[in-house]
Amino acid sequence: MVKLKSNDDKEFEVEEAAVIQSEMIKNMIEDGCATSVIPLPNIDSKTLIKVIEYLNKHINMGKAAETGEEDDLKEFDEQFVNMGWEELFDVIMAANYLNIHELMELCCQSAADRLKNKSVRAVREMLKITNDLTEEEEQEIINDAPWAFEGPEIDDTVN
Amino acid sequence: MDRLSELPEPIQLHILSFLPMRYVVRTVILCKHWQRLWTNVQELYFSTEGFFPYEKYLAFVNRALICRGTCKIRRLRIELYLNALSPKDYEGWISYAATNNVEDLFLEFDTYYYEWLPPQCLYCNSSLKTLKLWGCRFVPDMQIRWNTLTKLSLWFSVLRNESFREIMVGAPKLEFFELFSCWGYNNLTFDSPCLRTVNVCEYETIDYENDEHDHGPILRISAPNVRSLQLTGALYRKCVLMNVSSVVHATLDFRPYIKPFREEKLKWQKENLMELGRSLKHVESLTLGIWCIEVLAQRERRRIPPQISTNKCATLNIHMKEEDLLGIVNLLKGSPNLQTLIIDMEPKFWEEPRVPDLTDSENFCIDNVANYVASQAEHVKCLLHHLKTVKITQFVEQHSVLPFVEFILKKGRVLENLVIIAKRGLDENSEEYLRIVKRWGFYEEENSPKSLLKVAQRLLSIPRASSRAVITLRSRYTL
Repeated sequence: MVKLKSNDDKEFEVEEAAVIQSEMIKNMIEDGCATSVIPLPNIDSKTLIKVIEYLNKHINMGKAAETGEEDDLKEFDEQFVNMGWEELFDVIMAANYLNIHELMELCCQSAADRLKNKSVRAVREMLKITNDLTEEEEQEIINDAPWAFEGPEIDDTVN
Repeated sequence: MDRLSELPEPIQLHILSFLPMRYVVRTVILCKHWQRLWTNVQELYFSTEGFFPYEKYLAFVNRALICRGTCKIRRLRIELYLNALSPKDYEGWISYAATNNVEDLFLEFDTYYYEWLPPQCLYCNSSLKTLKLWGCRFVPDMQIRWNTLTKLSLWFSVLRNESFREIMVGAPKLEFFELFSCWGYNNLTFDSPCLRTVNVCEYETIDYENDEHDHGPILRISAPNVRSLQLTGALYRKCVLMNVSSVVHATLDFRPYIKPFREEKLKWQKENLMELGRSLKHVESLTLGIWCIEVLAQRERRRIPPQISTNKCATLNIHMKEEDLLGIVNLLKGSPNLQTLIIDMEPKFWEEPRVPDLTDSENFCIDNVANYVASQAEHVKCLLHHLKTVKITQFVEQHSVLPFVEFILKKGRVLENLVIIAKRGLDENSEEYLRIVKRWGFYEEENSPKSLLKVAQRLLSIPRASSRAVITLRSRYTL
């Protein structure tokens, strides 16, 4: 068992087999730097719980492909990324910090899926982007690169 | 600060890399911070979706590549519809990829009876790691140099034996090779030293340019270092395997190609299948498809002794129709060392009409398949000593599955795990669900909680030959 500590001082015990999916922690363990508790100053307990949930589920991922359990994992993954933008970005940051490749791919894919087919207006609203371009500047961008705005207008709804 | 901009730039770029370029480019207008960001995306995916007419798509790809200039690019994936009259814009793209040291290049050109010729710079490249080409024609006497290439996929392409040899010699780091519906070859010696995974999917294809219908009566595959070998599609010629002793995982999931309107004896194709099976009798894990099990079922009906193998794991992609039970029994009889049997009830390759068995008259009559299967238990040696795990995925209750499960539970002396994973029904907000409801007025899930409960009760009522046997039935519902 490996102990992880979130930035709000909560400790979590995780099986080594699960936690070594994080390249960062794997390296720490290999270098013998993971003797007691591993502090994670960038991750709060709420996010860490999510990450651990993922790690525990994916513990035997290589094996799952052989035994036909991929569907089960796929279903889990679909449910897992069913979260708000804030939470998703927190998990992305954590996955990036801990260097968990699969989790990073899953979450970035989900972020991209949410943006696909969306109009500029919808993307701004979803991501709370303040438009600091004036109308003239916007028009100028469109005039400079009309090719970039070809095609039918896209989905204007948020979500 | 907006939410996405709080993320470090590499992560923002990574998220964008999952989107087709049409959406990536549009981020230019989100706000000032985003104006230059898109040009730094390192993984580019150009999809034709949303572009009409075709010229607009060409212009879009060309403009986008010019605007991003020589920013580092790792992956370039381009879809294209191509015919003989198309402008050769792709040559510029390929040379862009070569000059900018692209590592992963995917040229998904939909070509329709026309093959494009790769420009010189594609034959010699020392930055490519992954290459996927659709619909191209390799020029036979071109020297190939792909020093860094590890993965190669060729789809709908023309590859002569000489070009294939060039690849084997010119790609010394190749680990994965896939040939999907390609033609022009009949002698494949996969001897590049690092090559571990080979997938060959054959379809009968006609070489229009040379009006050749025949690519030789025999396809010879030799795979001295390969560990995973997959043969799929519709086989139209005899296939011979050589030097396959290092293969650990093998898949035979093909059906014979039957020329329309021509009654053909399938005899040689069945013999060929059994011969392929003999060549692979040593592999640890073997995957078989619908037609392979059909052939085994026909052999069982004819009381032909099973072909013996030492496989430890068998995976069957079949629907579990009544006839399939005979095929499974035939397989089990011939696999005395089998430890794991996996049945996936949703075959991956598309289903085609059943291949007629033209020699029906030679069959023995089997009135009740379930009873017959039960009567064969004494010949199924793996049930006594080895078969520990049986797993059925994409399970749907139909009359042939439970008799089989009953057979396994009653006769499997060393069985430890019987796992049944129910097929998941459609989610209520999925497109498919809405489509069905719109068309038919309702949607009935195959695995309703009620029917699964019945299955569970039935499973628990069957006596087990192994005291250690654990039954697991998994579904989206808590029963």
